[in-house]
Amino acid sequence: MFLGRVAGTVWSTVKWPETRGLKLLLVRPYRLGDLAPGAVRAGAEASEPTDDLVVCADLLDAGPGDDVLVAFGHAARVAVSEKLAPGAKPNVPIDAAVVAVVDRVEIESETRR
Amino acid sequence: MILGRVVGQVWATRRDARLGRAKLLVVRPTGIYEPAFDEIASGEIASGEIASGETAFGARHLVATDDLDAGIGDQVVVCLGAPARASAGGNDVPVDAAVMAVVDRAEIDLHALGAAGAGPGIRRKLTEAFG
Amino acid sequence: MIRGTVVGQVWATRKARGLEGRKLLVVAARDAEGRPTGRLVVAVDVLDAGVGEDVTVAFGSGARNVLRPGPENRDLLCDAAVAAIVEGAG
Repeated sequence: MFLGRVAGTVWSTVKWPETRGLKLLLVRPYRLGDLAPGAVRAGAEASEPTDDLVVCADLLDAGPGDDVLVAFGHAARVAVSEKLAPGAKPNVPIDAAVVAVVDRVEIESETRR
Repeated sequence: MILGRVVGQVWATRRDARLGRAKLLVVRPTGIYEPAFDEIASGEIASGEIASGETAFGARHLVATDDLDAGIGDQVVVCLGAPARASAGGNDVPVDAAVMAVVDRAEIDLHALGAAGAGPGIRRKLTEAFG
Repeated sequence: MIRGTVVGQVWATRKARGLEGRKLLVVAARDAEGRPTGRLVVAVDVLDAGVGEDVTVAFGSGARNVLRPGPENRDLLCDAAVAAIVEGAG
């Protein structure tokens, strides 16, 4: 999984039927250096996440400015399929999903070992 | 799996229910060597000197679940390809990274890569032919 | 699967369930031309590969099959295993 900040939302009318009703968020991954030593409060001003934007399915109602935890691959399909088709195999065409909304992150200041 | 070092922790109350109360650790991937192969072969990089992963991964991080009580500062091995399926009870969990070992000791010798330009297997065949 | 060279080993007493006692090797991945890619992979080893040996590493269910063949291995927290020791390659 990776930590990122919700930067926006994606709307789409033309999409795979299995994903209808699924909210899609634009998430900017954090670089390790941005997760500065000390607590990072959700909603606090973050210093320059990367320019990458990942489109993630969202079932936790995260919104712009929220810090989120995103899972890739099969894990993302597992996250999403339970809501879309409970009990069915996780076969949705999704590869990234928000699995948690972050309250707090603490990073120790790093020392070379 | 990849090597990494635990640098922090994530707290999140709003989470997919299947994550349960799993501990979430921030891991800095290590075990990426820099720079290019040629410099290693020429001896400029001493054996065991491995970049922090800062440059190689662009200072990336990953978050992994932890069941082994790894602590901040611990070196760990993180499994990336199986955790979604690897849960008791048989139900898949939305996890793509999990700590599968806490490292006591790691020994890495990049000089074992051999001379630049030698493809895998060629070294051995030449020895047999001219041994 | 990928090709690579064993460059080291990891010792860990605390390991995920089902992996106790398993040897963990550090493999430097190589690309199709045999050049190291710069990435290190940690893989479970049951073939007793040694440092300096060229190996192939299997990922995913292939890796779990190396440890415990069959469908009852989904609980293993292992995504990479040494599948073969390479003696020659074209």
